[in-house]
Amino acid sequence: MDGQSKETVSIRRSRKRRFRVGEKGEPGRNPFGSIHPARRTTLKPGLPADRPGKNEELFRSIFEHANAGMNTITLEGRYLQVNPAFCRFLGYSREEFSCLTVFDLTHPDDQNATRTQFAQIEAGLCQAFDYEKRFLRKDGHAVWGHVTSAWLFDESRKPLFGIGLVQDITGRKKAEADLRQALAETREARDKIDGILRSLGEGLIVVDGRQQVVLMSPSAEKLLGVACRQVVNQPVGQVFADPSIPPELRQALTEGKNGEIFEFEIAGPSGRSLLSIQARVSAVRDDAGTRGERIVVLHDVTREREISRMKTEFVTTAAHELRTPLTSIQGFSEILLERPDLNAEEYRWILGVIREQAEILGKIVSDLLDLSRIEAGTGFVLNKVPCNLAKLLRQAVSHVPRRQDLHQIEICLPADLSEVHADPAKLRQVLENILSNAVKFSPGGGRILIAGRQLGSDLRLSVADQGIGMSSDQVQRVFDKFYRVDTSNSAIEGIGLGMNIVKEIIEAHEGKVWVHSALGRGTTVNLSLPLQSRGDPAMDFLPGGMMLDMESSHREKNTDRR
Amino acid sequence: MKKILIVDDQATIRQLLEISLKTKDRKILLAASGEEALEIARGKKPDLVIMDLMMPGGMDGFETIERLRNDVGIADCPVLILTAKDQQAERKRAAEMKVDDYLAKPFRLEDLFSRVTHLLEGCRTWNKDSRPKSE
Repeated sequence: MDGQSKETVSIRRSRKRRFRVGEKGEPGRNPFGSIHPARRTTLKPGLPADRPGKNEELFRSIFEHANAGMNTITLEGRYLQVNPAFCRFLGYSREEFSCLTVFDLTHPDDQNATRTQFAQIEAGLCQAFDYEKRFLRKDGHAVWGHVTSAWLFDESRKPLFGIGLVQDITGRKKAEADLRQALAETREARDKIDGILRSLGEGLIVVDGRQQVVLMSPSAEKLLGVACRQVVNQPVGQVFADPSIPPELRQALTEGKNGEIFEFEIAGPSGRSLLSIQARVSAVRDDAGTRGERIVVLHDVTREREISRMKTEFVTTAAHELRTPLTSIQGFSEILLERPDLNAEEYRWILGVIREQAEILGKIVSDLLDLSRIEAGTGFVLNKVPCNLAKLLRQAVSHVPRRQDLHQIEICLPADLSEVHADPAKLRQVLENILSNAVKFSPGGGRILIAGRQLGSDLRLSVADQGIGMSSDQVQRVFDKFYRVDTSNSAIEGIGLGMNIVKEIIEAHEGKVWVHSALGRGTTVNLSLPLQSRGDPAMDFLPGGMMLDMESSHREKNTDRR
Repeated sequence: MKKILIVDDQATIRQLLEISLKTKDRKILLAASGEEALEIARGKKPDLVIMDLMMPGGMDGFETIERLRNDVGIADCPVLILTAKDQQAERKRAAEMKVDDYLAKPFRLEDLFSRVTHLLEGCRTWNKDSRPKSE
């Protein structure tokens, strides 16, 4: 209360002085002179000085009834006067303000800014300020005020007091914050959708009612080889300008029904291979119906088309492969029935041919059955027993149809090779498939070398031919189902399942198979097969890997000597 | 003595054809590839060629037929295609090339005999579906 009375005294002392309005050059804008009802102040310049009483009255009326908060404050931040609106704003009574300062009511985050303003007034650097700050209400809540404050100075340019107008902008600030948050949420949602579009395998193009591109996802850019920034806001025709794109697709974008599907082929990004693309056009709908916008979803169906093409070819090839031995069986059995003049030797020979061809037929059928098992996901049932690899190899070699004079098959195995724990029938099938490939793809003949050895706890086996070999592209696809390396040379038999079955059987044995090849320089198929199944109880009785390692080095020496 | 040239890359099929078509008054010539067929045809001038379509090496059956007609100069010699390929495309091509007959594997010997006999007797019977409308 002491402070308050001192202020009153100091103001009273200055009553005779002439005040200037702080705003330079626009003195008439601020009608505030003395706000103390007991005081008389002459404004210079300002409202006519001969009617001071009227000014004060007018000001008082504004002060008391204004909807905005008004106050007068000292340079120390003490409130000289506050109006009812300011009291309502901060929740204090007029009396309570007498022992509060501006700084008591300022939010901690705005303390510095407020003190800076006061320091600038004191230093004479400015005469008014206008800023937004947070106040602390009596109930502890923070509220936003827009403060416009003008200062009165004495003739020695010493600040006397400030007149403040405080507008409650809490609502506006909240709206602003809400807007900011809404914006951030929108941005986040947009980023999310962007991310989804970006990671979407399917290409997406959005076209507006005027047939202009609104949006194009990165996948669509990649599929069509068109950059989004080149076509955005441009007619969609530019995107589908490629002559291989059916004109119906462009038409569908203007008048298409929902869900129309088009398929076309265009040159891939490298320009090397064709891509099969499926485009589905849908109209964008909202509650009010269609909006004229259309979405085109592009789906790369190259792989699917390729597989379906290979399947069709497979059926044709399988039919052909079945026909060949069937021709012999049918023809020779007819001869047996129709020709009573055959001698016993001829008779036996023909029966031998029939049996051999029936075996070939059986092999094709079992390949087909294996395929259906692989397709069904049932896999192979393995009857694993210790197998003698040398014996299996000899059996396989004898079953591979070949011309003895053209193809020499050599087997190089260490004499003391351990038995391998495997399904003998399946392993023989693997060996036969690999060997018959080696023969098939050496149409000019040559040596086929089978080499085996023990490497750690694995059996390593390689089958190397000197045939036509494969390109790196062909090597990559050699284990694909239905894939036949040289489809242009269809005289090479086979239904394109052999190597796929090899891989499935070897993997069922927890082994690995891989291929090295070069065009014109032959192919080597490598197998790695655990001698004992992993997790096989027999393993536990072996004294670690030590003995196996010793044996393997011993054996490798043996191999070298050979 | 009529000479029949059998061109097939598969030995079993060659043997089957040889055994079933050989008679006292026929000579059977065997070729395992297109190249071999041209070489034999040059020296022996066959009266009938029985041709497989799919053969290893650069030359397939159709090409061999072309070359037999143009290079070897036996354009008059009838040709019977005997193949496991039985697609519309092959039959169409055979018709376009005016190949005399087309028999798909597997076949009945009876069918083979009647066609071979017809062709050797100079009746250039066309297979119904491979015969072109005009000659």
